[in-house]
Order: sequence, then C-alpha cells, then structure tokens
Amino acid sequence: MTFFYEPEFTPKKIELFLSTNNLSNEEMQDLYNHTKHLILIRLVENYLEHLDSKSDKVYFLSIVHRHKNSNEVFDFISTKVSSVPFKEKFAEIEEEILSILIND
Amino acid sequence: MKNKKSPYHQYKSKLRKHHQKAIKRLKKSYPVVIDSVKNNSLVTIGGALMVSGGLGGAASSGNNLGKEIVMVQENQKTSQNDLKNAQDKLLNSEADLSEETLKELSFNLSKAYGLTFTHNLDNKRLNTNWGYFGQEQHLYRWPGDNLSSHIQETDHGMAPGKGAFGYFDNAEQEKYYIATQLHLIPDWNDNWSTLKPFYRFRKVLVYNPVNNKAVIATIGDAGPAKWTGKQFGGSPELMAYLNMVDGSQKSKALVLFLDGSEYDDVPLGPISNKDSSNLITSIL
Repeated sequence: MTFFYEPEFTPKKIELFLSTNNLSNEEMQDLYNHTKHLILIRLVENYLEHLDSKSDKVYFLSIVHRHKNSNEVFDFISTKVSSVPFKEKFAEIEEEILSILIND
Repeated sequence: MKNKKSPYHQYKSKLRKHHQKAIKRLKKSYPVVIDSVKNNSLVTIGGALMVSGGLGGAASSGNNLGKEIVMVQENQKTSQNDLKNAQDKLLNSEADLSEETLKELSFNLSKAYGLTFTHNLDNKRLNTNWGYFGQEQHLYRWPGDNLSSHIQETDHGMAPGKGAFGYFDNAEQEKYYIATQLHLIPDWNDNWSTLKPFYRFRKVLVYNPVNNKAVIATIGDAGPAKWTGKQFGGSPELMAYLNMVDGSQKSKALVLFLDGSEYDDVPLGPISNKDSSNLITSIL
C-alpha cells in the first residue's frame, strides 16, 4: 500500500503519540498506517459532503482502488488537496483519532 | 504469542471499531462512490457539479444533461493539464528527478492515462526513472526462435543470447520490453536472488515527453552498461512507437512501475490518454 500524502498531511501528532507508547517498530508502523487510512476515509467522506454542499466550484480527487482482496480498503492520490479546505479538516480529523486512541 | 491486552492491541481494536463505523457511514451516504471504487480501478470524481448530478439523483433530466456537459469539459481540461504538467516537468529536467517530482509525475500520469503508476513499489525502485534509451535488438522468446519469426522491426537484428530473465512467457513481452540497469540497484548484489523475481517481466510505463507517447512494457533484460551513458534499452517495437532514436540524437523517457488492482488486466503496448468521458460514466 502506498500513500501519496502531501508532507503537510502527515499525521505528526499521532506519530508522536505512538512513538511514546513503547511499541515495537512493526506495531507502530501498523498502527500508523491504519491511522492514515482511517484519516483518508474520513477525508473522502468530508470531501463528498463538501461537494454536496457547494455548486459554484470544481475540485478534483482521484481514488485508486489498490487492494484486490478487500472492499473496505482503498487509497487515494491527491495533490490538489491544498486547493480545498482539507488542511483544517485534516487537523480536525487527526485530533479526533488521537482522542479515540487516548480515550475509550 | 502476543498479549491481547498490550497497548498495541488496545489501540488496534479502537482504530478498527472506528474504521468500521467510518466505512459503514460512507457506504450508506455515498453508495455510488463505494460501488465505483469497487468496480473501477480508477475513479475520478470531477467536482461539485458532477457529484451533485451523480449522487443527488433528484435533479430533473434536463438539469442532469447540463451538468454532464460541464463535467466532461472540466475533466478533459484536467486530463490534458495533467499530461502537460508531466511533459513540462520532464522537458525541463536534465538531472535526476527528486522524490517529490517523481510523486507528482506519478500522480499526473496516473490521472492522464487512467492507470496507477508509481516509482516506488513495495520499497523497490529502479536505479533511475528518467534516462536515455539505447536501441536494443530482438531477444530469443523461446527455444528455436529466430529473427524471421519476428514480424516487425527486424532491421535491428537479434541478440546472440537470451535476456537476463531467460525466455519470455509470450511474444508481447518481448515486443515491448525494456532493459534497465538492475545491476546498479543499490542492494542488487546482496539480494539479487530475491529481487530478480520482482523485476522479471514486471510491467512499466515508458513515457516519452517529447511527443506524449506512452507504452506499457515489461522489464525484459538488464543493461545497458554504465559507461554507455544510457540508462535504459528499448525493444525495436518500443523504440519505433515512441519515436525514440539511439546515437547522437539520444532520446530520453520516463519509466514508472504499473501498480494497482488493474495490473493483470492492462495489455502491453501503446496506451493513449484516458478518454475523460469514460471516467465520467464510470461514476454516474
């Protein structure tokens, strides 16, 4: 699985949180990848909601289905995220997931 | 055996629950998108107007027609822009391409051709992705093969031996093959026995920015030698289609791995810029 996140869309807070929890490198990488994928899904959801609510602008997003054996896992590529209000949303979703990890 | 109550398992469990909820919600709210992702290797969602028309479903047919026209225009423009972006970037690049540039090129070309390309596949890469191409000869495809049985581009003759991966699985692999400098991949000497199966006849994109022509080819041989000043070799058919020449008028092209669930289904040979209207219908 390859993620094409822009550098600014790397969940650094989650990475930091995981690195302070005495996890092995393998465990940390697995959780980190899982987190990024979850953020991705939430971003896609947010993006679609955003498109539904707007009609005056045109944005572009590509979704690439990369997994042959799973319906629920997909990846996306986007270099145009900076042109849509994702930067704030990304931070918001990262906080949301961080709080899920910290709390029950 | 790992402790099920370890921090790792606790975090994993929390993420999994949240993950399932997110997927469920997305499926419920946007079933068309999920279906499209399942059924199409690449889906481009081209903007508010298209998604409103495709997902809303409540607009009148007259309105939908108007929306589709807008969508096609916007997507065609974008597809052409993607190719032009890649072309401009390469034509202005003399040196090796940075990681960022390779990602951007992969993105632009994936969108332009409707396939998935990458320079880094499972942490495996080529020694370079952008370089000069030398003219290769035909290779033996199977025992008893000879030049006269190659239908096209026989002027360049036939190499005396087999390619680095031995006989080809089929004629198309030899028709559109490239040689890459596998021996210059940093860990090749230490790990060649495990790396070789990965590169053997792997499908790649070869893109010539001068004329915007592209081919899906296989990695069929190793070479050329470093002292030649070239980084790749191309089969007679590949070089002919891409209008690439050897000698003093050297030709440069970009090579990227083909990736994605569509990998097995993509035929070898020339590819053209994705017809944007197909992208539109794939989601509606």
